[in-house]
Amino acid sequence: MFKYIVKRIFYMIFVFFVMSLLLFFLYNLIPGDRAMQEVLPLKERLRPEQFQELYEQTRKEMGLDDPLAMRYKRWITNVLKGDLGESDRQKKPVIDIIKPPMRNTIFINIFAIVLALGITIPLGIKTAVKKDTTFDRVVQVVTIIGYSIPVFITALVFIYIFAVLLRWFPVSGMKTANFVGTKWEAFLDTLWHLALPLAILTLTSLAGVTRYVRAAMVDSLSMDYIKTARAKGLSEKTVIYSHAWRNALLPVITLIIGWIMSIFSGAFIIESMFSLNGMGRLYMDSLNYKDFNVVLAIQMFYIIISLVGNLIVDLSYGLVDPRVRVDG
Amino acid sequence: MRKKISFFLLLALLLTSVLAGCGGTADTPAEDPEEVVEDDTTEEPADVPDEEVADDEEEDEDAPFVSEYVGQENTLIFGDTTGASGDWEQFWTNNAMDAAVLELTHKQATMEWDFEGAPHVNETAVENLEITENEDGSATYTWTIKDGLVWSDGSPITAEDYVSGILLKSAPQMVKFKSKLQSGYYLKGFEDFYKGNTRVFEGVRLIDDKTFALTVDAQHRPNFYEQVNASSAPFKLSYWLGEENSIKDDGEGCYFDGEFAEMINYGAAEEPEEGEEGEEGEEDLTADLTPEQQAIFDKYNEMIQKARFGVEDWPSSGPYTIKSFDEQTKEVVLVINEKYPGNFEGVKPSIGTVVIQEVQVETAMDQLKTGQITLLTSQMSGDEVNAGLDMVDEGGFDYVTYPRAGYGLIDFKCDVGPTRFVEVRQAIAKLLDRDDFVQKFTGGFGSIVHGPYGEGQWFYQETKDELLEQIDPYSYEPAEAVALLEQAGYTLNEAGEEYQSGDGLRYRDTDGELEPLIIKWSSSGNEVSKLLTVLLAENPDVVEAGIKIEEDQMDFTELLNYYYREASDEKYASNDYNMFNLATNFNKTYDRTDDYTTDPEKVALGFNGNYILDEELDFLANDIVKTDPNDPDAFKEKFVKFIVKWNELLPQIPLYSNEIHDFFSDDIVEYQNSSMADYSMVILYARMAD
Repeated sequence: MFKYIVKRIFYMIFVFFVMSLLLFFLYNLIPGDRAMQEVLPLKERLRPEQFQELYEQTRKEMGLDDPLAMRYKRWITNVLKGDLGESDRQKKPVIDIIKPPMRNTIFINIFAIVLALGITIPLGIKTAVKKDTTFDRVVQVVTIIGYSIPVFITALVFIYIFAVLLRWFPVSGMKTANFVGTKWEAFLDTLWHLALPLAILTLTSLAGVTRYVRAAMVDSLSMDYIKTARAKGLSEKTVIYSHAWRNALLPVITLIIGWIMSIFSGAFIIESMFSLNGMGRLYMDSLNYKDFNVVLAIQMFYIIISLVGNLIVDLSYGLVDPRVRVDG
Repeated sequence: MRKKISFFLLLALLLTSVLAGCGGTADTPAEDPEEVVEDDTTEEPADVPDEEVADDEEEDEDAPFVSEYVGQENTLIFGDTTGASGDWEQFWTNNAMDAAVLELTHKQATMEWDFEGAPHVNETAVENLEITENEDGSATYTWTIKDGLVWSDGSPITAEDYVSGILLKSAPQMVKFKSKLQSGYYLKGFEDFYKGNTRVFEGVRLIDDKTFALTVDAQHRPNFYEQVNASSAPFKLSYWLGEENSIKDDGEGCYFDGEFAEMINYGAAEEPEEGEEGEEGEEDLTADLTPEQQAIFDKYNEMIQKARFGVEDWPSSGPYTIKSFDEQTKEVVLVINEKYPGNFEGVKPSIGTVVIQEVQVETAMDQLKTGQITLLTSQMSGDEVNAGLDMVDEGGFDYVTYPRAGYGLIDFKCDVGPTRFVEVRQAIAKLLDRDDFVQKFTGGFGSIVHGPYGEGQWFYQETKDELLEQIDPYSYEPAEAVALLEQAGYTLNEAGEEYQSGDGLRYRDTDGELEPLIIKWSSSGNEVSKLLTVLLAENPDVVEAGIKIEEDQMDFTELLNYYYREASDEKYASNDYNMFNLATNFNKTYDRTDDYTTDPEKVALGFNGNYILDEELDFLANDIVKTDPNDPDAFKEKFVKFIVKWNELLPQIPLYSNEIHDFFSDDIVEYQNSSMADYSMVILYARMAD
């Protein structure tokens, strides 16, 4: 096991470097002049010679005239030292820029994941147990509709009905303007603001997991040991939850781990529609602005998360299912 | 098996809990400065309306929670699609909402602007202004400020504060901190001070606690905006550099006194010789510092980086002070600065709290409708404006409208291809139905301008009739367009014979070669481009006239590289695009100097983006601001001459100028705005209904 983990870590380091090289070169091949983009808004305020001087100074500061390989070496060396660089747009260390949206994204995703798992697992079990009944068919249709409708349309419909017409929830944002109250009230205020985006996130994620759980449970319920359990006279509840569900959990558990790892990923459309300062919006805004230090930092972070997530999933197989041996 | 599953679930739960702990929710104890801001919102600050504080103090934690948007007493909630970043002073960045916060906290300048964009001496802050003409052609503006001016923290505003900003923003030290801000360009000695050649800034004098003088260099005179160029606003140096640094003047000009000055070897700056800059790598602007100077750099870098994101301690000389900034939601809360003496008309703010919130274009109007925000400015698209007007019709809301000081345009390169001929540019203008374009693009909320000006600018308003009589409106006239193309020499067909209707593309004989009438158009594929494709590039009359317009779509920054013929890449430097669609906005100072320069060096630097080399146009453009500040009639006369010549040469085709709409709750009264007014003016004059 230990040998396997060490081997995988070496593999992860190799993949990390390859990906960093690819991404760095790809982003820097995108046409456009970051220095011009930065100083252009100042053009109207400056005299021609001032502007030109500033432009040249900015090019030098950004090292744009250097060969790409030299720029990569400089960037990766700094990254390995823990310095992710500075944002072109905000002129702040990248790490400081990522912190607030990362907090928001994690905060939102925790609720989204808990809600989604809290609904989908019981629903998946129930539909499997009641397979081919009206209830099962209705759930299948409803979840697939929620999955199929583009999320921005769902968001607009929800906003119109629940925020504009009924006024139950705010249209967007994360807190009431100039909110004054206790911390608990502030927390409730944030949840109130997040109700609609969370509802949409949950709705759009119902189909996948529900169907996955249902399929695992259907397989499990058709096994011989279920028939044996029933033949022994065990209660239906015991059969379903102690025998069928525990065995169905094996494939589902990897999915759950994937979800937990996705706690760091932002949902660009939802964040944009509801004016939430999250990772999805930061990533897209940074891409649009060609703020590549921020983009690369986010990308590299997600690569690390994916690699670690895959390792945990592989290890969890061995932990959960004694038939699987994780070995070097 | 059971144990393993239990262990795994426990692990997952633990992981979730740990991550939840990282979430920084409101009930997590503050650990870093960003969370301190949140904590502050839960305290009972003195400047929160008394009733709200009392309610919060008495509120039973078990009582049902009700969050209220509406009814926050004397509070204006301003929504904008740009979220503030907290970097107010803009030494390094350029964010519209940060600028708005700066405008609200940075006032008491010696000159201030009115809603029409006209400058006025701020008699609320200025006791006396004396203007002296010097023998060398320069002019010295000696300002005496009034007694009793104070910062929001109660400390006095002195003459030193009025010179501090100019010195710091033009200091060579700030270049080492990678600052993009400059000040004092028009003042005598700027160049030497900025480059670090001299320790003193000759054109900036500190005479006593109440008096300072600014000398405009002779080379920048006359200038219609001279008084503005020689004005200043207070800047609290001690906030940025600590108490140990100050500004002194020994009779030769102002200089930094203190450790900060020791960071630079004044007079040691040398221009690098050609080829000397060959060393590769990011330029280290601090490479020339000694270890002692590097230590000073590090110390002040830390201080400045901390100061730039100030919130409660941010020194305000304006009508508001910053109460809080929430980095998570980008919300800024400002409260009245009771010590603000008023603007140039003596107007003081009456709205107690101003909240700036980030909104999204798609849902901003709904937020206004539901009371989540109370003011939404700068609405320009037809859909948004119509939605806003419907809301006003339903009641509870109001709006104001004003013309944009800027316009969308087709920009020609006048030195390459067919667009080097004025007749071709004029022909294209006559083949585009601009009335139709404006109607379609702005949804009826826009107008056509005929030159580089905004409809709301005072000099246009006062010369409108005279100007419109002298210019060609370039109405839709396909027949006249064909005649113009023939004047430009495009009289041949593909075979080199005389062009007949239906021959397709036109050609001209250029040095024995057949030159086709193909206009290469660099476009970013935006909404304007799409409409131009329909109304111009694919217009049957354009095809019939023998013109082919070829559109290349690209990223906007890529487009700008082509536009400025960026020298770092040959494909940009020698590109042959003839046409771009862009937009422009005007500053308060209408200065067209060098916009149409014929100086080859300046042209090579990218000024005169149209590459139109016309001596008369260059002279007229430069001449506008070279006007006695007390002679607005001369300014207007020069403006008209410039526009008439511009209209004849047509380096651009102005396409549309929007009619801007601001929508707001009818709780806000006496609201006014213009494209020349900054946010502080708008909020200063607005009132909340009783």
